[in-house]
Amino acid sequence: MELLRTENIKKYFKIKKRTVKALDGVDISIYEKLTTGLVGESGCGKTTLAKAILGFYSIDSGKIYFKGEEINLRNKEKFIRRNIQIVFQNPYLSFDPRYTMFSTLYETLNVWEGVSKDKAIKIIEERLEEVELDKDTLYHYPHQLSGGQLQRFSLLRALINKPRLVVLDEPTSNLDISTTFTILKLLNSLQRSYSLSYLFISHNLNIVKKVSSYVFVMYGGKIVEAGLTERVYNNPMHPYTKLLISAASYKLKDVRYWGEEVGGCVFRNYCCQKRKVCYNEPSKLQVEQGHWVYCHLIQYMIK
Amino acid sequence: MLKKLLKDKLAFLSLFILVTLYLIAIFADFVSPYHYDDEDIMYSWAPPMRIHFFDSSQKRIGPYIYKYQFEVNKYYQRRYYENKKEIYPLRFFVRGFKYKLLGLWESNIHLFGVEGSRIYIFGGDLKGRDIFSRLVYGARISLSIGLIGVTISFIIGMIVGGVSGYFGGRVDNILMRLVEMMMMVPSFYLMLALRASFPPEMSSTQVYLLIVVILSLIGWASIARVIRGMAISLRENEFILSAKAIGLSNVKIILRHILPHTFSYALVAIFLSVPSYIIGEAALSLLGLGIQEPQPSWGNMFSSAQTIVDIQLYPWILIPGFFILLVTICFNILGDTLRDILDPKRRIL
Repeated sequence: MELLRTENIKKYFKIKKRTVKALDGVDISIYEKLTTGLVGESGCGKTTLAKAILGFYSIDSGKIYFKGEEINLRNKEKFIRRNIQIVFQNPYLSFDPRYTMFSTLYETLNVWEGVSKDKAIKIIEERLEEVELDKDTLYHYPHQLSGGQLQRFSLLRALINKPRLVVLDEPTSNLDISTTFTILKLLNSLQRSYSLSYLFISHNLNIVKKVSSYVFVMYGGKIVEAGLTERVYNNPMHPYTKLLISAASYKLKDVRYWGEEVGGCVFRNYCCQKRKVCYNEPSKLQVEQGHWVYCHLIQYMIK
Repeated sequence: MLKKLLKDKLAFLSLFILVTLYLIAIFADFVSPYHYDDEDIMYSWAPPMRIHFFDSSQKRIGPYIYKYQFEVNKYYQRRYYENKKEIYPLRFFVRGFKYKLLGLWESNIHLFGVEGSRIYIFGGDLKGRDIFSRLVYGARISLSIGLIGVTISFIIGMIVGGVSGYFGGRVDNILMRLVEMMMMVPSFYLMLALRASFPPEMSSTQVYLLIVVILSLIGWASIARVIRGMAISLRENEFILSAKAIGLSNVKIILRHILPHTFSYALVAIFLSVPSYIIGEAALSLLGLGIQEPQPSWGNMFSSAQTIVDIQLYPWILIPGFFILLVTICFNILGDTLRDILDPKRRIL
């Protein structure tokens, strides 16, 4: 079942006279009870997409549907807040340093309905076990806790009001390998017990491969390849995806998109198989069952 | 923070002086020997009285004063001299006029005084009122105007700045243009214009409240600007986005997550801007627009020192000015020290 769908969303930032196309016609689908990965390098628009879904940015055009309901409208903010939550990249920055973890969580619990303090303690202590945290840590300030503990707290804060979808914006990129592993395990078990859907944003391909069932590859504000994780990883079709997954077939070079106006295929300038058709906008092409790619070259390969 | 503040000798001294002055202001009825309106024409422009400890035979008989008497010279000026025959010992905790301590307990005990005569340790004014008593009563107005004015203007400034910085866009534009309009007019003229827009004849409490309001209406604009800048930089923080994501209302985000982060700036700025309110009141009083006689304030007492002849003949009327200076310096030293403690790298202000 499709939970969230974006339809051709665009978000341009005007910086001085330049226009940066942070999102340029992005279509993604997030399925219920599954993890959807979103891969791409820094600056390709992953976080902008997350913030657009959460309504932090108003999008220039396009539509976002949550269970068939359009949510990029002004009066839908409450609906978004109830159903979609976010976990940020840097756990140290995602808590107000002035409050203890308990008051932050208590505040969160109180957003939708009034909860007495005693009841809140009960609820929070119950939920603490789920994220494998000690009760003592509840009365600590953010600076007294480790990155892993804080990330568990951000997960707890995101989940405490029982949302349907959690956007994980590089939740592990600030953590070491073993903590990353435990957090991923935790995410997995929470997904099963609360039947959650995740949008897992990362630039770490191995982690995305491990956790997600669907994956979207982004480059320069556009989706370049999408599909079931196994199929995309085993059979990457877009030159950029190929580059990401195995640097071998391409010479290692900086392919970073700097927001310049390209027109046509955004990856064209770095693509060593560039042809004349690449000056046209690529369209969505199905490679196989559950695997799509936005590349002109595929036509030649399939033929 | 308080510990560090007390370690600094200058700051400690300033704090000590201020606390003493505020205590004196609170217990003004007890400290002052006379009511501020208690006049005795026999002491018009009486110079400060000397307190003696030894009599002419160098024998110690404790603090006492001689009775002041005057003779009129050929210019019809009073020349005061001490009548060495009439000795009045200085007594502590003497009975005087009745008052209500803190508005609760009736009492007539005063810190010091003499029985049978009058003691004017800071001299007398034109009407023969005790300058010391008036100074003590005036401290109530002059010292509280600063605190109340600062509180009001900080509340307005922080709310406007917080709202403006957090929402940005059109709200920010409108509020900041308003702030610029406030800042555009020189504050002194704005003060005069605001004062002029109210009727000149009002009761002393009304005038007091009016001056507080006028001073805070002038003061909030610059605070709002700084708080706005801080709010803008805080707004992009992930903890604000997280608070937004969980569905916290904008009001709560501003009150709980934005404004508390500006408190350390505000604390320093409060200390540094209290003197401007005290001076503002003095400036209004100087022009006769402030607290009206007979109610004393340091400003209207000091305004009697406007002519050079008066200053030459009765230099003790400058005493209120000295106290204004003292309080101003103390608040500035405290503010500077607080800033150094809170922000050694000088990021704010």
